[in-house]
Amino acid sequence: MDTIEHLEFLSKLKFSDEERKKFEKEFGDIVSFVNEITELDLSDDLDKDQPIGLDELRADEPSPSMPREQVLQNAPKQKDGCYVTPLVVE
Amino acid sequence: MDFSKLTVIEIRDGIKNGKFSSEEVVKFFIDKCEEKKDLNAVIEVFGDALDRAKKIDKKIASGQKVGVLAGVPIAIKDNIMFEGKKMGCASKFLQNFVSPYTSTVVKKLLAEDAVILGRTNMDEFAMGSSCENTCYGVCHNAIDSEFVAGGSSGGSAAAVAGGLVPCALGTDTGGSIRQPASLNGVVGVKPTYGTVSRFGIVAFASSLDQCSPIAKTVEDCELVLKVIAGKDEHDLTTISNDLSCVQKSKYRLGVCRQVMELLGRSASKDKFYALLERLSETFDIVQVDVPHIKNSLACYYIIAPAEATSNLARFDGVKYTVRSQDAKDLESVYVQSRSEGFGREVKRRIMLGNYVLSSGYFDAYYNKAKRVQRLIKKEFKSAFEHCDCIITPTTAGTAFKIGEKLSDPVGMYLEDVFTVPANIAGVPAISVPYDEMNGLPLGVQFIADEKNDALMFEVAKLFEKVGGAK
Repeated sequence: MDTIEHLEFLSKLKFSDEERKKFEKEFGDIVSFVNEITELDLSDDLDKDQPIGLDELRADEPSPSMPREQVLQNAPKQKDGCYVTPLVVE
Repeated sequence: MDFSKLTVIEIRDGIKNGKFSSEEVVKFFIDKCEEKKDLNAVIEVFGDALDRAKKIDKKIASGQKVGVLAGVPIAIKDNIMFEGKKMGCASKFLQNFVSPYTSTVVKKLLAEDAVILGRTNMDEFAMGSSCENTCYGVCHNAIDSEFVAGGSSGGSAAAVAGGLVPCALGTDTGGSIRQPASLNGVVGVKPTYGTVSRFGIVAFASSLDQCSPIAKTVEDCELVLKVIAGKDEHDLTTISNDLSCVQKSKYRLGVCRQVMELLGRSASKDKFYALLERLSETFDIVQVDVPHIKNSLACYYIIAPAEATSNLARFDGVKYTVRSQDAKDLESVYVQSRSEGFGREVKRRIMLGNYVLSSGYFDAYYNKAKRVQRLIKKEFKSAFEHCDCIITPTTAGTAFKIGEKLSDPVGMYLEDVFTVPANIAGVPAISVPYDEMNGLPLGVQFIADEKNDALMFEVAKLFEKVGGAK
């Protein structure tokens, strides 16, 4: 499998042959643009701390969640309070 | 009365003092949205806006205490949720989506008695710098309709510049508020990361996204930002950021050497140098260095797509997006629905995100970009030891023609070269109009240190007085 097809698989996307051809060129341009990062020499020892501090968490207390109807209100297909998908297990 | 020239504060005070009613104001802007429909900036005026205005008028008339935005109409970008209203992120994938709950920012606006006028056009899922990638049709620049409005919050910027609404919320991940504000000749701000809650706003790159206002003046932006800011238990990345005013007798502006190199031979260079000359009477101007600032854009186009790819995994044709009619099994529900639903730019970024995160590339791209990000943050910190704000152009040039950059994704990405560093470093930045070129506006950007948003507002307000576009 070539790179683009592998990325389509990971992305859950499928291109037509024509789309893929166009995409390959654009993608090549974009990747060569971001490649400058891979070439940077970062010899200085940078601290490994997370840019976002997560030290203040809210209390772990149960509280009401959104009503089921509201959760489901935008589902393309639903039945008996559940999402409907094609059969997964025979 | 023509309300389109008035600021948020003028409208608010006029309503409070009984010079006019919120109903008159809101009616005026609803008519304006209709009259300037061709701009394609406001894509829906909410049906209950006028009723809400009447309610606020009654509240004022009865002598009740009202909020700081009482009766003022504000529009929201199409990726911000307001319960019971449609929201689509300008994507045909989300057509008919109705918000199941209200975002924290809208709740806070409502708590101060604002009137949510409607929703504005944008680039699909906030990905783009022109407001051309949208299922509602291109949004036009408010100054000249042959040109782009910028993006991704192009609708919000064009709506304010075109006098369709006095203020609109946008979101800024790499410049999506400041760039369109600059191209339309209005003010747009991106606060310190974490200042505003992202709860109820569709996520693009969660570690970079911030929601904030676009308005005609710095003071208006400051007022509205103060309303929507604050810690929120629904968004654990929110911080307490003191936005109360800090004044100094003289402010020091830093001109970043590496930004000037990037500005190179761009068309607006002379204008920017002339501006610096003018400002030297009011501000102390010094040179500063942020050596890796030039790598911010490449860094951004690794980190942002990496986060977007997981954020957009939730759009799967099962929970809330349109499902492909051709889907036969679960896998094709996902693949077919996503392939039909997402537009080209969104697909590009999902693919790029999976590329930089995939095995064998993760260290070379994503991890490396996060290290470069930390380095840039550190360099900004050092630069702010020598100045209050760094001054840069917001964009290298004015708005470009519609269609001009559509087949050149990298060219489009370069639009954000001066705005992206503030998102990468998590620091606040504001774009203010300063001049024009060939009849189109130019914006200047002030970047301040983390949590120095209040200082940045003071500098920008002083700038408006002495060097802003008349």
